Amino acid sequence: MPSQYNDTSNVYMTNVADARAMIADQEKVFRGEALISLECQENGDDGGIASFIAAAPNRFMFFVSRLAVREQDFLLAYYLLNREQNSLSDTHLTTQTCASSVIRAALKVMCAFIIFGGADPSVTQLRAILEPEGLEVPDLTGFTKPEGRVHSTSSLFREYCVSGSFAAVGRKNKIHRPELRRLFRRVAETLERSARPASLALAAYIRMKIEQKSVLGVGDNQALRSKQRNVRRVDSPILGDFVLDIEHPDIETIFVPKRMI
Amino acid sequence: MLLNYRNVETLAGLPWYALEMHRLQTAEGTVHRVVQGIPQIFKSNPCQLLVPLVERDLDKFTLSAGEFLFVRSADRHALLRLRGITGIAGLVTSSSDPKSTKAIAIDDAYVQEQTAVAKNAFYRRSDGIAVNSFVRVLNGGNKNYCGRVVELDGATATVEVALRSKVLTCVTALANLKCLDDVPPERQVFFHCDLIAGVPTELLTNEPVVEEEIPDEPVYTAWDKPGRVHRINSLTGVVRQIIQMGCTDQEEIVSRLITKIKSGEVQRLPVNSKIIFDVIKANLLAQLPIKNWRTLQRSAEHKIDLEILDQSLRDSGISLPMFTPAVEKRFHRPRKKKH
Repeated sequence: MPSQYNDTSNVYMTNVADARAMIADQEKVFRGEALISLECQENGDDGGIASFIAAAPNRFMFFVSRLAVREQDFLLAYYLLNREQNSLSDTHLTTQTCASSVIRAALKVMCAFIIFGGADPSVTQLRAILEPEGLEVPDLTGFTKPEGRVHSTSSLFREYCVSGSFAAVGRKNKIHRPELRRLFRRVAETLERSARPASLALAAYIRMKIEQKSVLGVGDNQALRSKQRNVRRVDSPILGDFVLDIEHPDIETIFVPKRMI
Repeated sequence: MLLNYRNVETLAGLPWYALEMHRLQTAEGTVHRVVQGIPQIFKSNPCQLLVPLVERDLDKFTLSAGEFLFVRSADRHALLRLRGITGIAGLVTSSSDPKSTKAIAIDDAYVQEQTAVAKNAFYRRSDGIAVNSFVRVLNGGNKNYCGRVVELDGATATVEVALRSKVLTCVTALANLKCLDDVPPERQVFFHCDLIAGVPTELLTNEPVVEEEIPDEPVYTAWDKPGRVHRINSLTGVVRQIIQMGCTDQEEIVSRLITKIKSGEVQRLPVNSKIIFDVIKANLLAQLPIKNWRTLQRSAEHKIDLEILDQSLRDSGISLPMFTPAVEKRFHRPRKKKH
C-alpha cells in the first residue's frame, strides 16, 4: 500500500476513520466486532515530505531554493499553503495532471540535491555514478563525427549545465546538437532503470536540466515561457458577504477543503 | 457565516439545533460537505445554517462554539439526516444513543448572539488594510496566497502576489483578506506561514543560496565563439544589407562589397567568385520588383557579369577562382538525353 494511505494526518482517511468510528458502538467493540481500519493505525511511515518540512523547514527551504523558480512555486504553494493541484494548475496555466507531474518531478530533484549535498553535481560526482552504469563513454551515432576525440558524458553534461545551451556544447565538442540532447535523454532513461538511489537521483536531475529547455538557445523553451506570463484572477463577490445563499452558483468557492497530503 | 437555503423567512421563531462535528481540524471540509449536502437533504424545505467562525487563517478555523454548528429547519427528519454527512456526528440530543431523535432545542436569542459575534469577526479581520498592506487571501481560487494590496476600491481590493516565476494579480472582496502587517518586510513572501517562522531570512529570498561552483574542468561558456559566422556577417547578409540600404547599382554593390570583404566584415568568403555573383544576382532579384535577370540587365545603367566581377576582385587583391573544379565540371556537364 502506498505510504500516503498510512498517514494519520491524511484528511480523507481521518474522515474514513471517523465514519467507521461512528458506525461502531460500544457493545460491538466489547464483543470484538469493531472494524479496525489499517489506515488509522500508527505505523512506520509518518507522512513523508510533510514530516520532513515540519521537522526541518530550514533544510526544506534550502533544497527548494536549488530548484527552478517554477518548481519552487509549485512546491511552496502545495506543501506550505496547502493549495490544491487544480488551483495551482489554474495559476500556472497548465492542467492538474501536469501540476501533479511537476510536483513529483520537483520532489525527485530535491531528493537529488539532498544526495549531492545541496549543490549541482561536479564532473567527479557525475563520473562516479555514470561509470558503474556504463554510461560514461557516450554512445554517439547518427550525424556525429567525433574525429578521433574521446568524449565523456559527465564532462558534456557539466558543460551543458554551465552554458545551458545544447548548441554551444555541440559546437565546442563537434557533436551534432540533436544527438547531444538525445544522448542526455538516453542516459536519464537508463539511469531510471537502475536500483541505485544515486542513479535515480541523477536521472531526475538530468531530466530537470533538459526537459522543456530551448533546443537552439538558452533557457526554457517557448511553450514553457508562454506559461510563465503574469495572470489576473477575479474572485466572486460573494466572498465578501456574511449571509450567503446556498444555491448561489459560486458557493463552491466558500470553505474549499484543504488538499489531501 | 450564515448560509440560507430557500425562503428562510418562514423559519422565524423556530428553534435552532446544535450540529456536532467529529473533528475541528477537518471542520472546513466538513462545512463544505454540509453546504453541498443541504439541497439533497432538504429538497424544497428551507434551512438555515450558522457557521460561528471567529478566526480564520491558514490552518486556522476557529468556531465560537467549539465543534458545533447551528442549524434550523421545519423539517426535523431532514435535520436528523445531516449526520449522514462525513465528519458530522449528528444533532446534539438528550440521549447518549446516537440514533436518538430527541434533539435539544437552542434558544434563538443565543444563536443570534453567536451570529453577531461571527459577523463582527468576519468584517473585522480586514481591519487596517490599506494600499501596500501585506495580506492573505482567505477564500476562493487564490486561497492562502499572501501578497500586497495595490488598489482599494470600496469593498474590493486588488492584491499582487509575487510568486517566484510570475506575478499573480487577484481582485477579491476586502472582507476576504486578512491583514498581516505585523510580518516584518523581509519575511513578506507569498508562502508566509507558521512553519517557516524560524527559517532564516536569506533562505526565504529568491537569490540562490550557494554560489555556482567552479567546474572541475575548463568548460566552454561563450555563446559568441570567435569565428562563428552570424547570418548578418555572411556574404548573403552583407549583400542584402547593401541592397536594403538603397544601393541597386551593380557596380556600386560590387565596390561596396569589396570594401567590406577587405575590412573583414564578411567573415567567411565563398570558394569561388561565381558564388558571389550568384548571391548578388539573387538578392537583387529578391529586392527589386523585376523578377528576370535579363530584363534587369537591359534596364541597368552599369551592368556586371561574372567576368567583370572576377576582374574587380582580382584588381582589389582578392584572389578567388572563377569556378572550383567540382562546380566547373557540373557546370559544363551535358544534359542527358531522354530516350
